[in-house]
Amino acid sequence: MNMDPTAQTTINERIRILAMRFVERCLGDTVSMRAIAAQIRDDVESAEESDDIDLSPLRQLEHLAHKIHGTGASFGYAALSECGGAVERLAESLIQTETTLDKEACDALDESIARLSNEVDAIAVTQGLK
Amino acid sequence: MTGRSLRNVMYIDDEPDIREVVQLALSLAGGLSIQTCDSGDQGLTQMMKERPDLVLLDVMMPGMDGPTTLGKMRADAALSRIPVIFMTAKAMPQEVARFREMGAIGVIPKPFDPMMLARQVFALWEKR
Repeated sequence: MNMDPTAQTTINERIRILAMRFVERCLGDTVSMRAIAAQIRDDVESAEESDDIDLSPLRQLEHLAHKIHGTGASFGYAALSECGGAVERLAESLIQTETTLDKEACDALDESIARLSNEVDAIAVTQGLK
Repeated sequence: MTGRSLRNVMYIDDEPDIREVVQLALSLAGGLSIQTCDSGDQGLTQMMKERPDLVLLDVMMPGMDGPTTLGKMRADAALSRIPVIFMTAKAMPQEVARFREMGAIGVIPKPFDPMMLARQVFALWEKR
C-alpha cells in the first residue's frame, strides 16, 4: 500500500488539531468525573447496604473513561489512554461487583481520576490550553 | 475468499473526532469511499441506501451499541452478508472471541495508530 507523503503530512496536521480539541474535551470530562466520584462517595456514605447504591453514576464514569482510554493514544497520548483505562477498569470491576463499593473503593476511584486529571493537565499545559 | 476489491467502507462511532481520524486514516490508502455515521440507528438506515462493502463498528455507543447493531444487520437479509470489523478499547482475548462468535470478521483494538489503520483494515478484509 503506497501512501502519498504529502497527504500524510496534511493528515498529520489535521490530526494534531483534532488532538488539541480532544484534550480540551478531556479537561471538561475530568471535571465531570470528579463530580461523579463525589456523588458516588456520598451515595456510599449514606447507603445502609452496598446493594442499595445506584450504579448509574459508575456507568457514566466508566463511559467517560472508556472514551479517553480508547482515543488518547490514537492522538499520541499513550499515557493518557493508560490512565483512562485504569479508571475504566476500576469502574467496571465495581459495576460487576468484583470489587466492593466502599470507602476504600471511593478512595481508589479518586486517586485514579486524579492521576488521569494530572495527565490531562500536563498535556494541556504543553499544548498551551492551560 | 472472493477476491472482491474493497471500495466502500462505513465507520460507525458516536465520537466525532474519531470519525474524522478514521476517515483521514483510511483516505491514506487511496481509492476508498468512506461514509461515517454517529450511531447504530443512523448506520443501519444509511446501509440500506448505500450498501457498504465493509462496516467498521464501535462497540460502546449510547443507545444502540455495536453488538446490537451487528445483530440487526445479521437479522436483515439485505445487510446480513456485509462483513463487520469491531473497533474497541475492550479487546481482551475473551472479548475478541465473543465478537467473532457474533459474526465479526475481526477486531481492531482502540486506541489505534492512524498511520496503520488502513493496513489493518485491508489485512482483515483479505482474510475474511
